[in-house]
Amino acid sequence: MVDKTQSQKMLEAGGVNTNSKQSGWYSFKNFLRLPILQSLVIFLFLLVSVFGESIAPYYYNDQNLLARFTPPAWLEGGDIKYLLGTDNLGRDVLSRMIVGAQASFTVTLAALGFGSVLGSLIGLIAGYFGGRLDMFIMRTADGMMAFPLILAALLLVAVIGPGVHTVVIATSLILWARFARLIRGEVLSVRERDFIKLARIAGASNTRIMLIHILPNVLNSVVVLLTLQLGYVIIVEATLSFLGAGIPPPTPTWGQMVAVGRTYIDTAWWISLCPGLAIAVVVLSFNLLGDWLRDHLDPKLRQL
Amino acid sequence: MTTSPTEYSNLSKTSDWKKLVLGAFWEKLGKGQNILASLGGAARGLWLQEHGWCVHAAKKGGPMKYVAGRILQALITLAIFMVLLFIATRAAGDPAVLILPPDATEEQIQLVRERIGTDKPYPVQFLYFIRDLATLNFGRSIVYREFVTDLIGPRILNSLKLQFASLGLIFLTAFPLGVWAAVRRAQIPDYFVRFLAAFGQAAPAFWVGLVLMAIFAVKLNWLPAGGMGPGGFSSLKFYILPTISVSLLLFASMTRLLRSSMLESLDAEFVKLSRAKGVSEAKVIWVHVFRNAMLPIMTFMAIWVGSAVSGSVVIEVVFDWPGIGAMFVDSISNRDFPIIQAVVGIVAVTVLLANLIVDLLYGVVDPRVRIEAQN
Repeated sequence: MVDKTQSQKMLEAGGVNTNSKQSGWYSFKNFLRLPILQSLVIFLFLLVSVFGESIAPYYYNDQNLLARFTPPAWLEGGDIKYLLGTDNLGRDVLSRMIVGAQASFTVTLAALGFGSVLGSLIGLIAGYFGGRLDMFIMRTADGMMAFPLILAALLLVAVIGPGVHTVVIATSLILWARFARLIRGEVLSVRERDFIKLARIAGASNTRIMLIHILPNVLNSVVVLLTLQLGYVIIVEATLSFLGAGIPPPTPTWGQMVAVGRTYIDTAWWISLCPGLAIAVVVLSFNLLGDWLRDHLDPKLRQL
Repeated sequence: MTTSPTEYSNLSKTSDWKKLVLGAFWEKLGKGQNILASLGGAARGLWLQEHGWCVHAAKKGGPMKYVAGRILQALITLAIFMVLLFIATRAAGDPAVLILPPDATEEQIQLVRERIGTDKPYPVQFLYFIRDLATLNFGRSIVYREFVTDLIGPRILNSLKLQFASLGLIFLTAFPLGVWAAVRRAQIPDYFVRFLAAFGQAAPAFWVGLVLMAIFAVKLNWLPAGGMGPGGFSSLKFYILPTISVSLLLFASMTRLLRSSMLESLDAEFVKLSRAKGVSEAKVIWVHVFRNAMLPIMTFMAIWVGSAVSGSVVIEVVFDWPGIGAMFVDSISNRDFPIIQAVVGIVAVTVLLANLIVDLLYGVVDPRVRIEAQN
């Protein structure tokens, strides 16, 4: 046995295993805990979303009426030209899914962007100034969070018509409340710290204290919440599209494709199974990555 | 929690005051006096009265302050909701134009405007709107030409049947599984339950419903693919697939929440003390740990009242369930605003009420909440 350092001896006295031979299994287990698989899925999703149409094998709206309801390639009667089969109009399911990923991702990003920036600023103001303004804002946020998002979005569709902007507005209307609540709580604790008092003594304005001194201290909570909400927003977008209240055709979205396949569920199940499975896998990956990020960046958010 | 009789009499005084203020307000309105002034006066009177009550309760301390504060907050949120709903319905266009066929003449539109009151200024319209909501007078549906109340009543009942079936399923499954996962932490049961919960949160409900339908209704032909059945015992099999699909998301969230709050409680000092005292393990878990883990679940139930509405909208469309959610989706594409308004209004009030009840229950179960509110 080689000489042990003082610190190793102390660790052993405390019951910590410092024997490197046994730690192989532990490092393997730790390796398994890294979010590798979910990161790969997310990377693939991002790749497909960015390139979209240019990597799709067919134009998403090309109809081949002779090849309607072709099953996926590995099934009997399948055609290798159409890897995931074709839909009721003979359009390639895979190409439509690729373009649909782009549409879903754009909407999700826009909604999250609006919602998080708006919510963080409102939360910052509420937490910083406190008092009656704080109470008013937080009551509104509570109401928004309690109110069913789908219902609010559908109401908005009836008022201003379906489209990208409707989905983005409806989703960020609810999202801001989640961000505002979280940021407000964080601001309340940061506000009482000494460096804020010093900044105030030095004559910094309220805006400067909020943006330069408080905001950087709460930003990593924003990042964690963003990742945790990504999957949720994708599901909301898909649900709205499924109900016919999302991005209108001809642009394909995953939710819309599931809705089309619903009519043919008894014969051509792959039309709705494939996009639905894609939603589930992508959302699962984002959720798992979010959980991992939260545990490592911001463990105090565990209750989220 | 003792409440002195003076506090109760104070409560009843408040409602008397409200009647007085509102009564005077309606009288003024009827005489055609300056509407805006009376509106402002009534609002100020109401606010002062509410606030005065709170201040009084706060001076006395005790549980009434907590109750008063919560009710006041719920009223504020309700007011915000109603203003937003009013703006949304009016932004969609003049209801008179929506009710009439597209080839109606200007005079006909004007006639309808006068009949339903949309020729008046917006503040007055808002008051009519609130009055109609409060008296459940939603008018007639534009498409079905029937009273909205008659249309949505049986539909709400159908939706409630599905939601209560789902709630039962969740209580039967999520509670044992969540506790099991927490007790067997980092063992096979824990991984199994966590996987199930992660899947339930990631898979969209409408897709799960379709997959279940494809397997059990189309492929195996064991269960009906949609509808509610003729009623009675034989229609129970119509409930199985929709109930499972509607429950999945809440089941997942509930299991996760239960597991993490159980773990937190298992770690607490009072658990170690009970174990040291020699209390049996079953008693430790079900009496000490589980009771403390209930608190966040109560909050969760309040949020779920809202989420159940979203769930019922989607699943009722998938399974052709004759509930309020499916009807709501139809009214959106038909722009049938009387129905939309009624559904959104009812849901808003229900959600707020559920939140209020849970907040108050929280105060009863957890003394720390009351004490915090008093400071």
